[in-house]
Amino acid sequence: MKYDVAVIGGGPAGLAAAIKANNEGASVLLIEREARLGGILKQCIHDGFGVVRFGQKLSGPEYADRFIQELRRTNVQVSLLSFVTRTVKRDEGYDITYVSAQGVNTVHCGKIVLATGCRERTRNAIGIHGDRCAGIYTAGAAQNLVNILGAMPGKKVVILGSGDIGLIMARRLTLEGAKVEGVYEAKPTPGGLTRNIHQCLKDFDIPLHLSATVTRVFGSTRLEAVEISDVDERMRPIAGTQRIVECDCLVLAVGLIPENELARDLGVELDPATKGAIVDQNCQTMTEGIYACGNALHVNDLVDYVSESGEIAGAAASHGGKRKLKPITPQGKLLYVVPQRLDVNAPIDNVVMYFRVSCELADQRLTVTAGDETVFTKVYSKLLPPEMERIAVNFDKAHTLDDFTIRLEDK
Amino acid sequence: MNFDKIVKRVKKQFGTDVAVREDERSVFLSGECDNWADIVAIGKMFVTEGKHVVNDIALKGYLCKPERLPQLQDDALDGGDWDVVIIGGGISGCAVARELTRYKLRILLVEKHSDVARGASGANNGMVHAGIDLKRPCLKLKYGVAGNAIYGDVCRELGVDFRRSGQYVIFDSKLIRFLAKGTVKRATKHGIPGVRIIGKKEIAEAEPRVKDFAVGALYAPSTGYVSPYQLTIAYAENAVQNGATVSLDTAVVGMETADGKVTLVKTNRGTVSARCVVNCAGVFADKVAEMAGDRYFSIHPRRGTDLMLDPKAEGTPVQTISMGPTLKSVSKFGSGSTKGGGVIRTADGNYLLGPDAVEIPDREDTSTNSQSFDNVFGKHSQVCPTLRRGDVIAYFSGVRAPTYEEDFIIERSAKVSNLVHVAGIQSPGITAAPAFAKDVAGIVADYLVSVGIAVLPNENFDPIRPRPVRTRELDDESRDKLIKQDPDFGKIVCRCEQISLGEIKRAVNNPLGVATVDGVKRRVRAGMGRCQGGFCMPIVADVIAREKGVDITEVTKDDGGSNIVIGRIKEVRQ
Amino acid sequence: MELVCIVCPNGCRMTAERSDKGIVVVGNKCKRGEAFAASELTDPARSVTTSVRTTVSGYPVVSVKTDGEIPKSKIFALMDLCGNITVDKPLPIGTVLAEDLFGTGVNLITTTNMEVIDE
Repeated sequence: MKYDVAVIGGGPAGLAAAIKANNEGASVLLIEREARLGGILKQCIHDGFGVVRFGQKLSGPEYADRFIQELRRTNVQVSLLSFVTRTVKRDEGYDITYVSAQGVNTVHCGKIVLATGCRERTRNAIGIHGDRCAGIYTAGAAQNLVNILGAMPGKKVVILGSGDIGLIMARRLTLEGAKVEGVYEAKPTPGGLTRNIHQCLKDFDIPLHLSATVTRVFGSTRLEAVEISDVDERMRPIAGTQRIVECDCLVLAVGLIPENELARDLGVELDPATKGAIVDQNCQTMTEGIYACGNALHVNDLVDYVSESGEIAGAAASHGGKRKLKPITPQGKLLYVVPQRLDVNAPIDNVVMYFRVSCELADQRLTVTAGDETVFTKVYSKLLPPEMERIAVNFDKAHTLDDFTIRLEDK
Repeated sequence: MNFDKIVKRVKKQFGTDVAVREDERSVFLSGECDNWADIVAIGKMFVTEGKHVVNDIALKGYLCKPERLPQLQDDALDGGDWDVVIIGGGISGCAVARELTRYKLRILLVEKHSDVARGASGANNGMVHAGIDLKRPCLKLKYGVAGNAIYGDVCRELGVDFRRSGQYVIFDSKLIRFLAKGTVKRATKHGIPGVRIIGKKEIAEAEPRVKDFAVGALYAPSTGYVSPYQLTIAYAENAVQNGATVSLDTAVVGMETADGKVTLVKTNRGTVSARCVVNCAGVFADKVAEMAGDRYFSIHPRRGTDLMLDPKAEGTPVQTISMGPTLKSVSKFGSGSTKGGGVIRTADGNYLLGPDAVEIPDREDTSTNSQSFDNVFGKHSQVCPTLRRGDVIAYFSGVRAPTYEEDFIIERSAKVSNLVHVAGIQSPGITAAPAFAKDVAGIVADYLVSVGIAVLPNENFDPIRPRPVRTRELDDESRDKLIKQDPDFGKIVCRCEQISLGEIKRAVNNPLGVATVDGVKRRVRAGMGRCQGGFCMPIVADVIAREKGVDITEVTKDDGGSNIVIGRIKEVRQ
Repeated sequence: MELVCIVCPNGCRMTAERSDKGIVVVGNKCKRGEAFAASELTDPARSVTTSVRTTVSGYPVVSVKTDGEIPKSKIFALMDLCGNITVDKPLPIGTVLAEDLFGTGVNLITTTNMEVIDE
């Protein structure tokens, strides 16, 4: 079989990419690992999805369903329960081999869109020590147990990490009758959106402990208790601050990392700051014909932007031409900027850029320049690490299409 | 023997009064001390040729945690009558069980955990040692060299991966390289094949990452790598295939003896009688000996921590490498209580850093701590400066079971005639087990014959345990064929390690009847990758529940009580 | 009273005070914030998302939500109500499982399309 575009991953980014590529006239194959489309949204049963895109607060499955229904109206071929095992570069495009219940299948495609999402950091990645007992789960695993399998991971729960997933799980487990002893965050500021601090924690009187972390776990079979320590500004535990909190479940919401196994196999260049691919404004990676979008590209906090990047990738993958790439250099207090390159041969009148800061900042000015010319500027009264910012920049009027910078500085 | 001098030295060095008593087999120590490391050090001072040390010096103020026992209580085994009862399902017990099934005997292996290989056999780095560190003849050397020689054959029979890719001990000074000539000579004398010193150029070719500081290396080509728990499982499965009974969640809680023999073995699942008992109880071997009134050695638990690296991390070496002695540490060459480990490329293609060696009072304390982590990383990353902490995706500890003499005890008891001890098994226990298991089976058979029990060959003995299917290793054509036979082999559940539903179902329905999440992980590596089960653990739990026809609330991570979930939603709120 | 608006991800920090002329809200970026603040002061309400059990193969539970807001004080009463519902056949997304919750006119609806899963 031959396709113009193969989209790998049927979550929000992949769905949007497949639909868009189809609508732009490409023949599309969407390869999804699981039995149902929707990716992680299937288990994100809380609401708040789609505010930017649909002006509505949808639950995760509802948001996904809108795209799934739209996909059904396209000619996109969907292969479910299919796992890509190999990708090989050919003169024209790529051969993709995947396994499914039907067997081993190899298809040829012109372009690949990687929409493989992200994975969670684990207990080991953050150096929690102690016993090896049951009851310690990443937030995603706990969410799957509760929302997909209908099972309770614990009755007395400690949550480490105040990112949105941690907050959402605190509320979810409380609603189902668990006692959430507290949410602990090693950083001095909360990791999640302010509204989630309020509607997930404050509404249910769940305490949030900042600058504190879990340093040890105890339990012979199931978890019995955790040791909490305060941490200093470099997030190192402070001796003498240890206390024991009894619990039978520890939920770890300690960060997400873009999933890039396939990107690595394809030799795609990654950005150490985002842990995703380096891309141009069309989500095309530094490897010709390979696109990356959604959380595989960088971890987003709003699904609306995940879909947006999927659409950008899907549209670009169905056209594409010879690129002329110029770097966009981040300066100042930016944690990262996506895209990292600008293809000046492609349209540059509406370049969507996403950025994040690494610490809370007030009264900042963002400036995008081409040469010594300012092409975009915006003032922010407040910037928070958990909140990804999005801007759309028009580079069309710039006189020199080179030396692009994006800079954040005190106003 | 007169121990007065040593007693005085102990008093002077540690401020501890030691009372000493001896009999024909052992030196017994008693007293009190407030430091565990000192107690172990004192015990070692009393090691004398031909005698074992039983160290009863108590740690002041230490409340020993009670032994972890299975929650299960039933009488499934009650009244059973066995020719051989093997206590302990580590590599020793499982290998002995398998070797004994070559005879027509009624064999029962009891293991207190819910799976085999749960102790040190499941938590070591899987190195099949060449034996280059052993200085003088001892059981470790004898069985280590013999075991290494037959490893390939044993693993082929049992369907376990084994890679003999050698090891390099790196030297950073010419003096050490010169001194290592003695090691080569000794190794050759001990019958270790192919050991040699290689020069700067050759080591740089074999392992480019050390070229900046290596002036040479000691190369031992017979060193190999195996998954120690998969080999243990394979031994147990082959034993079951050949007629042995493996009873899990079964702890020995007492014994009855009469006329210098063990007559009854009491467990939480009933009392059984036995013609012969084999003590393979690992860190509890001295406790089991004591139950039989045969306490003549002590086990002092020694914990080791290993760090597992992301297989995709940049900066991992190609080979297994470790730092040889440096000028500073030269006096310790080969005499330390660990061979020092290094960066080990495992049979699965993963990399392990470690282990360390820490004396601890609690035999079951397999917890990890940041101190060990830091020590292991600090020490073993020296040989590979490109490694980063963030490359560590998992870490685990195991507790070794050494005696004070630091050698294996493999013998029939001089006092309890039907009790065979396989004790003090520590590194190179994984290497030695295939060899000593044959001898232990011989000791058991000889004993049974000597008391008039007919020991006939088992004509149905089949040494082959089929290797489990691993779909990711198959070429497209064979994989396609397999999936067409059973579509479950086309459904990938563990994305990091590419393990299919079919493989997981087979693992759940294994011959030992182990249906736990970690049991699946040990058998097919589901959950062993970078995400550490974040994605697949709930699915694996669900598959276990379906395959076994139980509710997911009954599925455990490992031992009884380690349930994955505590109930159904909606039920927690009354 | 200090509040954080939970209507959208912006999470505006606002202050709301009662005065003679009604409720005065400061800090909101849009009108929805004003409405939210008013309701927080008088009768706080929330939408609730949760799940109910099913007997349908492949769906131990199905996700549900209130299609509007219910009084905050009724959240756990709603959870109890959900605990007593069992879905026994595959339902399309948006199916009403319970009408007019607590006399609010708000319904409990499913939020997942229960399609037959090829496992």
